[in-house]
Amino acid sequence: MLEGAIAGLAGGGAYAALGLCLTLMFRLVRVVNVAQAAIGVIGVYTMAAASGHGWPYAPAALAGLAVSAAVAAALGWVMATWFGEAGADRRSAIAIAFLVGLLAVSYLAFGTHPRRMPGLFDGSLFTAGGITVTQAAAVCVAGSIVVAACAHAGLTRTVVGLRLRALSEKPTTAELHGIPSRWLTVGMWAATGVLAAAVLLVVAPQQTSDQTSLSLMAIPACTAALVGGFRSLGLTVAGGLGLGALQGALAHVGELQQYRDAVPFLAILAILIWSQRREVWDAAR
Amino acid sequence: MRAVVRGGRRLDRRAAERLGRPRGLLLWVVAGGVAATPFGVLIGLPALRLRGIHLAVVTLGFAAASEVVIAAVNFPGVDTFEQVGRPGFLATDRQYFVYAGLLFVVAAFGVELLSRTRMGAAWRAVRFSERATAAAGTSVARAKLSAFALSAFVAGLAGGLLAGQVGMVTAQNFQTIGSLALFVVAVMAGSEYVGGALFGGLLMTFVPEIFRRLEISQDWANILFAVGAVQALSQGTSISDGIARRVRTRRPVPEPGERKVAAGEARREPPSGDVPLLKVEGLGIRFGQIAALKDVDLVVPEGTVMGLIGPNGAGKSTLTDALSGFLPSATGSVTLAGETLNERPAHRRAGAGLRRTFQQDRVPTSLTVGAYLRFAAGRRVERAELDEACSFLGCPTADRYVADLDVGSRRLLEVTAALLARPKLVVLDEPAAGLARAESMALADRLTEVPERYGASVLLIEHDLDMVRRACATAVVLDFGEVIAAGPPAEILARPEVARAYLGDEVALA
Repeated sequence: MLEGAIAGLAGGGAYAALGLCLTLMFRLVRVVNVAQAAIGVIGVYTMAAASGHGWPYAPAALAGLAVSAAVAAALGWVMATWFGEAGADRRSAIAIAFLVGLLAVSYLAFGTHPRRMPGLFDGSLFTAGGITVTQAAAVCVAGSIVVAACAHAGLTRTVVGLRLRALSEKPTTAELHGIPSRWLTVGMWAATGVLAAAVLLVVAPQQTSDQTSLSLMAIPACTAALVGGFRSLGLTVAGGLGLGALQGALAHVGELQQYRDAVPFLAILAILIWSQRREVWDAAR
Repeated sequence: MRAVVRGGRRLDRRAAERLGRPRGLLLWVVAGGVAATPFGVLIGLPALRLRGIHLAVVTLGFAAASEVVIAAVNFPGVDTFEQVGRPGFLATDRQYFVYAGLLFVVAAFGVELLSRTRMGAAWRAVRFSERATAAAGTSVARAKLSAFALSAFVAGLAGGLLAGQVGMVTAQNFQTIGSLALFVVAVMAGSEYVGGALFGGLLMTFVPEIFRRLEISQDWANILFAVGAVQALSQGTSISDGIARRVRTRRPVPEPGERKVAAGEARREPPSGDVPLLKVEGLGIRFGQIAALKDVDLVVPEGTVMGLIGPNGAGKSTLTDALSGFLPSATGSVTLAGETLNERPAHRRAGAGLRRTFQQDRVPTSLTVGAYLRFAAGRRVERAELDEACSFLGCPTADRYVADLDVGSRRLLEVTAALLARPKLVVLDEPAAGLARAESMALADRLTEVPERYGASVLLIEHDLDMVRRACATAVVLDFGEVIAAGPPAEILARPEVARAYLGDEVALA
C-alpha cells in the first residue's frame, strides 16, 4: 500500500502543480480555468508531433512550451478584452467553453491516434526497502513545492506580485493607478500555460493517455485547489499530493481498486461540506 | 446531470429485466425518471452549503466520479450484448422519433406549468436571493432540492429514451467531456427556456451532421459551440434570451415613471394599540467580541405602527435579522401573539406571521410583479385583490417585469408582497430608501392604514425622522445595541440622550 501511495505521488505532483496554476489563476485573474490542462495538452502534442518529425527532444519540448504559452496568451487576451469586468462565475463558464474548443482543436491538429511520447524522466530514481521512487514522481513533487514557494515569494516580495494582487482585487482601480491590467492578465495566462505544459511533459510519457483524459486532469487539479480553498498555495500542494497518494494506495486495496479515482473526491467533498457547514445563507446579511 | 441520466438508464435496464421486454419500454422510461430523482436530491445536498465555484467544481467532480463508477460496474446486459427491445409500434426510427418528440412536449409542458406555480417562483427566487426566499416563507432547502429532483427526473427520462434509441448503452455514452460540451451548447442556446433547450438539442444533432455531410471534421462543431458560448457570454445573453427580450420589448409597456404612492383619503392619526403582539425579552447578539445587541426588551402592540430608529451601526438591521430568524445564535426570547418563535428557522417565522423586507434590493428580477406577489403571498390571491394591493401602495401593474422597475418601485413592491401574505407583524427595513420626499410622506400615510386594512402591525425602521413622526404612534431608539428611549416620536426625539446618540456630545450639549 505504501508503495502504491508513493507511486501515486507522480500523479499527485501533477495535480498539485496544475492545482497551483488554478489557484493562482483564481486568485489573480478570477477564473477557475478548467481549460488549464487542455492548454498543456496542446503543448505536449506539439512536442510529440515535432519529435515525430525527427526533432531532438529539447527543441521539440521548447516548441511545445512556446505553443502552450501562445495559446494561453491568446485565451487570456480574449478574457481580458471582453470579460475584464465579468465575475468569476462567468469567466469560469467561459473557461469550460475554452476547454471544449481546445480539445476539438487538438483533435483537428493532432488526430485521434495515440502518439509516442518521448520523455526525460522515464526511469526509477532509487529503490529503498523494496519501494521504488520514479524520477517522474520526484520531479513532480519537488517541482510543485518549488513552484509554490517561488509563486509565494513572487507575490509577496516583488513589484509585479504586488501589481497582480492589486489587479485581482479591483481591476478598474488598479488600471486607474496605471497598472496595465490587460497585459498582466495575458502574462499570467501565458505563465500558467507554460507551467501546465511543463507538468504534462513530465507526466504524459508515463501514462497511455489520450487528449481528453489528459485535459480532464483539470478536475482532480480543481479538487486539489479546493482543498486550499482556491487561496492557499501550500494547502493546494498538500491536497494534490494527498489526492495522488490516496489514489495510488487505493489501487492496492482489492474492493476499492476500481473506484480509486472516485473515493478521494468523496473524501474531499466531505471535508469541504464540513468546512462550509456554517455557510447557511448566500449573502452575509 | 449526465450522471443522473446514467442512473436512470441503469435502472431502465434493470426494470426491463423485471417488467418483461419489449412492451414495457413506455413504462421503463418513466421508471428511469423516477429512479433518477433520488440521485438528483443526493447531488443537490451539497448545494445547501456550497455555492459558486465550490459548487461548480463539486458537480464536475461528481460527473468524473460517476464516470468511474459506471465504468467499474457497467450497465446490465452489456457483457451479454443484450439489446433494449422496443414495442412493435415504436419499431422504426421514425416512430421512435415521434415518441421521443411527444415525450419532450409533455415534459416541456409539465416544466412550464410547474414554473408558473409557487414552486417555480421559488426556484427563480432562490437563485436571486436565498435570504429573501426564506423571508417569503419558503424553505430554501426544499426549493433547491426540488429543483435538483425535477431536473434529475427529466434527465432520467432522457436516459430511458436514449437506451431505447441506441439499444445498448455503455459507459462511453456518458463521458464527462460530453457533459461539458452539453453545458457549452446550453449556454449558447439558453436552455433556461423550453425553446432554448429544443434549439440546443437541434444544434447538437444537426451541426455535426451537416459537417459530416460536407465532409468536414465534426470537431469543427465543438469549436463552433465554444465560440458561440463565448459570444453569448460576452453579450450577457444567450440566443433564446435575446429573442425573449426582443419579444418583450415589442409588447407595449406602460410608460415608466408612473409610480405614485396614492395619497390616503384623509390623513389620519397613527393608530396605537394596547394588546402586546410581539414580545422581545433579553435579546442579545454577539459577533465575536462585539455585542451588537445587548439585552433588548421590546413590545410591539397589535394594530399599530411603531418606529425603530437609531444612528448607523445602532443594531437596527441586526435586530430585524434576529427577529426574522436569520441569527440562530441570538439569546433571549421572541414571542408573536403568544407563540414562541425562538427555535424556528426563518421561513417558519414568516409562516407564523412575521414578515420582513430588506434594506438591499432583493426582489427576484426574473419574475413579473404578479408572479412575485403571488409567490410572496403564499396563498391563493385573486387578480382583483392583487390589483387593489398594487394600487394601495402605487406599485406597477401585475404584468410588468421586476427587472424593468426602478429601485423605489421595487421597495414598494416588496412592502406590498409582505402585506399580501396577511402577516400579524411586518418589519420594514428602510422602505423609503429610493423614494422622493413626497412619496415617502405618502407612504407614511398609507402605512397608518395598514393595521386596519391588512390586520397587521408595522415595525418601521427608518432614517427619515419626518416619516417616523408621521407614520408612528410610538417609537423606540436603539444605540450601540441598547434601547435608550421609547415613547411617542415627538417626545423621544426631543430627549437629550437621543440627540446625543445622533449628533454626538458637543452638539447635544450646545
